Amino acid sequence: MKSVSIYIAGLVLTAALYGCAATWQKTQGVVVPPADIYSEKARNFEDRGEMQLALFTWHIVAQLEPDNTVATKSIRRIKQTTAKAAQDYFQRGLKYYQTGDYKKALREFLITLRYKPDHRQARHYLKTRLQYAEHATYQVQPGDSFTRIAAKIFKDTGKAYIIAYYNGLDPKKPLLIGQTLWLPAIDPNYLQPRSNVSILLEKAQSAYAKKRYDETVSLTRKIHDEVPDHPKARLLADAAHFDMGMDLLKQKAYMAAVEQFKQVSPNFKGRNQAIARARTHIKQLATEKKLIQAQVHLRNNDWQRVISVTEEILEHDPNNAQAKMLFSNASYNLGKLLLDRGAVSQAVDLLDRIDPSYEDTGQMLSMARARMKSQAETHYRNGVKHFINEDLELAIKEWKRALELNPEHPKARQDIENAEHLLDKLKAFE
Amino acid sequence: MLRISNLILLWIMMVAGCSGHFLPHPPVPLKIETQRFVMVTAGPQDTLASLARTYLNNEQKAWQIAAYNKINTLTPGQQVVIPRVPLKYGGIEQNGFQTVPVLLYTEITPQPSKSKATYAKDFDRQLQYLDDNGFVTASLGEFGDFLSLADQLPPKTVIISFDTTRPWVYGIAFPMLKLRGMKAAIFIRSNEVGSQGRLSWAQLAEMAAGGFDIGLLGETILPPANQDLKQYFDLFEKKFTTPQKAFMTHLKQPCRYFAYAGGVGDDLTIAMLKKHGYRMAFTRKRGSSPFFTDSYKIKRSLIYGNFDMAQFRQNLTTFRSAELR
Repeated sequence: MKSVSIYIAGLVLTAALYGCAATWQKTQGVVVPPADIYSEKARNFEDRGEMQLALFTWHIVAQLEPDNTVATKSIRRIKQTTAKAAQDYFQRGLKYYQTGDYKKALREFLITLRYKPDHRQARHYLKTRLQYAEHATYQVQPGDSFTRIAAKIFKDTGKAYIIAYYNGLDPKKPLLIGQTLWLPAIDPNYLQPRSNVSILLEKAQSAYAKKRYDETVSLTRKIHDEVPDHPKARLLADAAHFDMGMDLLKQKAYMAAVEQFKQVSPNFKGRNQAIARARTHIKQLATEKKLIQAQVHLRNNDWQRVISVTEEILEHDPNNAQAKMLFSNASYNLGKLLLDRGAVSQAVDLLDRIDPSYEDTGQMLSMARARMKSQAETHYRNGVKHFINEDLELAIKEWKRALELNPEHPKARQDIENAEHLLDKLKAFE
Repeated sequence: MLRISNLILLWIMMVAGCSGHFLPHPPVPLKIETQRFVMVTAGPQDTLASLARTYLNNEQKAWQIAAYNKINTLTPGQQVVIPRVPLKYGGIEQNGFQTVPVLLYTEITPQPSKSKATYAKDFDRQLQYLDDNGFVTASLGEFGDFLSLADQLPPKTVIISFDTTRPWVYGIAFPMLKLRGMKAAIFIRSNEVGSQGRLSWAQLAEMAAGGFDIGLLGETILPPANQDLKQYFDLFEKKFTTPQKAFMTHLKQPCRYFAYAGGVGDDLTIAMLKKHGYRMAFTRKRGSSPFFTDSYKIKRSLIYGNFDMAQFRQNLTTFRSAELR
């Protein structure tokens, strides 16, 4: 009886267990796949060395069966082994890297990431250090500056700025001894080897600021030899020449000032006005000198020279009062002298050019003109005498002289024509 | 002595245990969602792409579901795991690693051309080849995530690019790629946009909205001999910042990608690109790039018009063998 009871109890228990452990779990009607499928899959991944896929799949198992100790242990184990393997490969890669075998280092770092994709150092070496493995570096020595390093490495102090920039450093701040600097490899097309133009330019700017114009000009000439028409150097040279010209202008060295201004570019502001100003001064100076000469000639009663010097002044400066005065004075005195010497027509020509109100010029002119009329009449009468004596040629000569002295002589012109007509007929007849 | 009451009790227990088998019970779709994965039962309307869209916010990640579950299509009722984390960063395998080819077309012409330009029909045949052989085009953003090990790319990923503001890219290339749902990148000089015979900002904006990445095509900037270095730097820097402003103004997006004018970059340019937030820069050096390539020296292969299909295929290397066990 007891054995029957045990048999029935076993049968019932089996049935109950069968009912509860169906092939698929059922939780509130949701069909959940058995974790075994994924456990199997995880093991397969492990066998094939796909540790990340295995780990991921064990997580699925653990999610499906939170109490599955195999899954939790596997997760822990894989994490530990992959972390260790990753570290081992990384260290090996590091050794290769340090000995310069970058190809082998690359392989080790890649395997590191295969085991542990978030391995930070391996990522860093792959993405950064290996890229710049053959990049030139420089360790800062005592006494170094960016300029000194640039001169040492690139043979060009002008590239100091690039080194600072490339390393993200302030070019004005001092370097730390022992600091490692990356040295940029620069496409030669981008930065041509530079001359010392910048240095010369800085010196020229400094010299100009200190009003050392000759030095400025000399430095800008050197720049010009290196780089023709360097705009900044050209501007500096212009400014230096201009300022030198202005200084000379103040010193009344007008010719020298013009020479400086002429070296300034034509479009430089104020250049043309300065030249015009200097030229005006030059003219004034020349006039002053001539006036002094004229005054000297006047004191020596050398009227003719006074007249010629003042005529030169008045030709350019017709309103120069002093020149006018000197000219009138000389002309008056010379006119008077000529009158005294009987050179009436010359005296009239001279006196005619000055203001009649000057001294007794008007009176002298009237007298001179009266004398000329009288002389004209004398010549006319002499002509008539020659005409009567049938000496037509002499008659014509006298009448012409009469006309010279009095162009408005009432008969002389007509008589000349008649006499010439007769002379022609006689010649034709002969 | 077993009593009748005990037997009845045991019978009830047995029935209860078997009830799951005997009573009708409609299956309820499975859905387990964690940070690492989602496990679901596929519905009648589901596809790999729809699951990727729903759970990964990107239907182009359907390949990740297919790869883990080793399936090509879904059948209703099928239970699948959708990985939410990259399982193979950088495409590293035991026998090598993934590389991404970036193709560059200089010109596509509507008629056959004797120059290096690609005839539109040849271009279409090349796109067809990519389609037929499981290649997928990626955006530059996705490529950037691959390079920085932030995300994976499909194993056969290719990037198509153009360096131009000429209208053919809008009139020929853009519609052909759009028709196939393919992405591409255009590198432009912002100062050319809107001038005669060039693309307009509106056209570029349309292409950007259509899945095209717009990047900056550099200019060769030689320092004038009479210019000082600081001035040169300022001028040089403006060549990177001015286009960025134009991109923001006209395309309402930052300019993050750069192509070198002469096809090669130097340290100074790279430093400037980094300073101004450019994420990647492309050369014209032929080849494919693995994830550990320098993001500012990405290789690009020029595809010439006279390339036959074999020559075209040579530029599509997506995996480099290496013993990585």
